[in-house]
Amino acid sequence: MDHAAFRAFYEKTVPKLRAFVIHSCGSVDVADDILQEAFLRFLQSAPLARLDESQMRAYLYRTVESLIVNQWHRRQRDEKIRRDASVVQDKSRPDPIADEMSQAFASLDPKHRTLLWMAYVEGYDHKEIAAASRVGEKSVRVLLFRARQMLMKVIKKP
Amino acid sequence: MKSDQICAMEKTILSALETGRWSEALTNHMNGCAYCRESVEITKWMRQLAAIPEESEPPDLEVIWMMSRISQSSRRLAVPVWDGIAAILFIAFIAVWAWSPVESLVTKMVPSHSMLLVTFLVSCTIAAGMTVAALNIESLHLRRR
Repeated sequence: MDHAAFRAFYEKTVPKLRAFVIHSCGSVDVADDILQEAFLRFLQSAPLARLDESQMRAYLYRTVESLIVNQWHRRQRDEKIRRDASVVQDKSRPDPIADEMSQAFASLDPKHRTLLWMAYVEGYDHKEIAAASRVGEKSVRVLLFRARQMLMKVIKKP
Repeated sequence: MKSDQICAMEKTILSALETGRWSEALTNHMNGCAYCRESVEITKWMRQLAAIPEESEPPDLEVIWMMSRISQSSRRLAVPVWDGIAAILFIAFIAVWAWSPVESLVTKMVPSHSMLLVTFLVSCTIAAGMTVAALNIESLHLRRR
């Protein structure tokens, strides 16, 4: 991939991908570190020549999902040592509804978050999600169904 | 509702939501289909979440591009370094393997009371040669970086 192609792809992909990472890990700084690492891995190891744009984007979602999980484990370890919840979150957003939505999304299972985002924000169909997550189409259907149920529970929570 | 009761109309309903073009048939379907109603609710919620504005700028793409170029070139350099190490190990192996013929040749030429000194000198020469080779490879690596 040359510089111009990377620029075009980055500019198109980053807004939604960044929003996904920010709402998943609850910190803009951590999200940007994850994003940078994901794009670096993407440029270094993805077999780019064989992937179309949607597959490249799916590769990035898979990478950020695993980085978010790693980061979550690291944070749990650090918390055990410090027992200081104040370092977990960045400053709260001025909009309390946005804050509440973001927290609700972050409370979901990482796999569920990725599936919901790919299906309802990126607009991927089950086949594309299956190819991206390297699981069967049938499994995607079941997992997405569970993810929807979990999200509805969180949304409807009083 | 079970996971195998997914509505085949979901994609069409979500397209209508995207474009805002609702036919009467689609509206009727929506009113009667709990799965599609839920899909619309989830999609609206998810898109509202995705659209929450973020004041700060994302990571600079030029930095990412540059970092990837640097790491690619250092990976390319790593190959000659490993070649050099393999060459040194090969020379060391040959030196150990050919030690007894060399030793017998030296025995014929050198008086037996000086043998220990000669063995020591030959070992030192081989060790020095390997050190020089290692330093050369390292300096080549630094210069290319």
